[in-house]
Amino acid sequence: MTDQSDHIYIQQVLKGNTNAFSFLVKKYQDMVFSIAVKMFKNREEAEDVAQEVFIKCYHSLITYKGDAKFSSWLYRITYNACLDRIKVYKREFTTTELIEHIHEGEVELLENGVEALEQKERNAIIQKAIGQLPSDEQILILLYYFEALPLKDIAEITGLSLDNIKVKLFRSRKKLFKLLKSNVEPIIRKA
Amino acid sequence: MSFEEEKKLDDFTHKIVSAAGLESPSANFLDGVLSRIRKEQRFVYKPLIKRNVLIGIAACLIALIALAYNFVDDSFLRGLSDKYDLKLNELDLSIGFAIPNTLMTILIIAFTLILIQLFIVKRLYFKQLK
Repeated sequence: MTDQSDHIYIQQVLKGNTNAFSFLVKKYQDMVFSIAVKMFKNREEAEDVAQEVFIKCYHSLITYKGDAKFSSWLYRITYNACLDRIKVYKREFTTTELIEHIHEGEVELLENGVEALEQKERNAIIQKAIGQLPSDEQILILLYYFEALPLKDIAEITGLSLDNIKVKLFRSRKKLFKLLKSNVEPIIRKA
Repeated sequence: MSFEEEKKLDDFTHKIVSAAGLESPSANFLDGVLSRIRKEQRFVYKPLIKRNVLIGIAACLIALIALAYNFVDDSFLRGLSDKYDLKLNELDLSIGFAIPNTLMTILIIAFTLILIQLFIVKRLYFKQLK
């Protein structure tokens, strides 16, 4: 299940080679950090949690059986570590928003509008729109669309049911569309 | 929203999320993780005698005690003595004084408590050190 290179490095770490762990950190640090940033919306705190996640991963590596993908196992540790810290500080994790209906042809119109923007501006607008989603939906979007994880793996990471994930993804797609549209339209109008 | 439109939205979401990429931590993130791991490793307790060796020693001791109490009797020793001319009959192996059962029980309990305390103190010590 696990990537072959991951497996080789995991074995080396288990044999006591700490430096081999740097390969795993380098490979997964962006994803782990991105999940944490989306949960906390604070880079310093996210970095601290991400470091803790890798340390926990290092110490728990002996318990990793290889049944699931290493990435899924690591993301589950990340997700739980973030939830634990959120519980400690008793912060709010999710919010709900109204979903509006998307009309025929709207997707194509927005796609053209987004493509008309310069790459740097486009990425900033997309990041901003994603950042406006509730934390749990941002993470689902990240795991499903960026990491292309199957729904089953996402269910294992987040502890949500498959149906719940499908509903949340359906809603967040629409929300993201509306948020992106509200960010892009003023720029296009100005131009 | 039609199925076709839903599919378009799905593809569009995939496209924009992939284009946006991931957030990256600071440049010294990796060094931070590795230095924290190395710092913790300095406090890892490594016993002088390996666990397997300890289990072996304990097994040998139990086996010897079991042999002494259950399997070795006078006839066995007498047989050995006759066969190899060891003259074991001339040896006086008695300790010379009797240990009361109460004292023996107290000694066993005290020894067990010392072992438990050693284990707890060791754990506390390394936890504090960490």
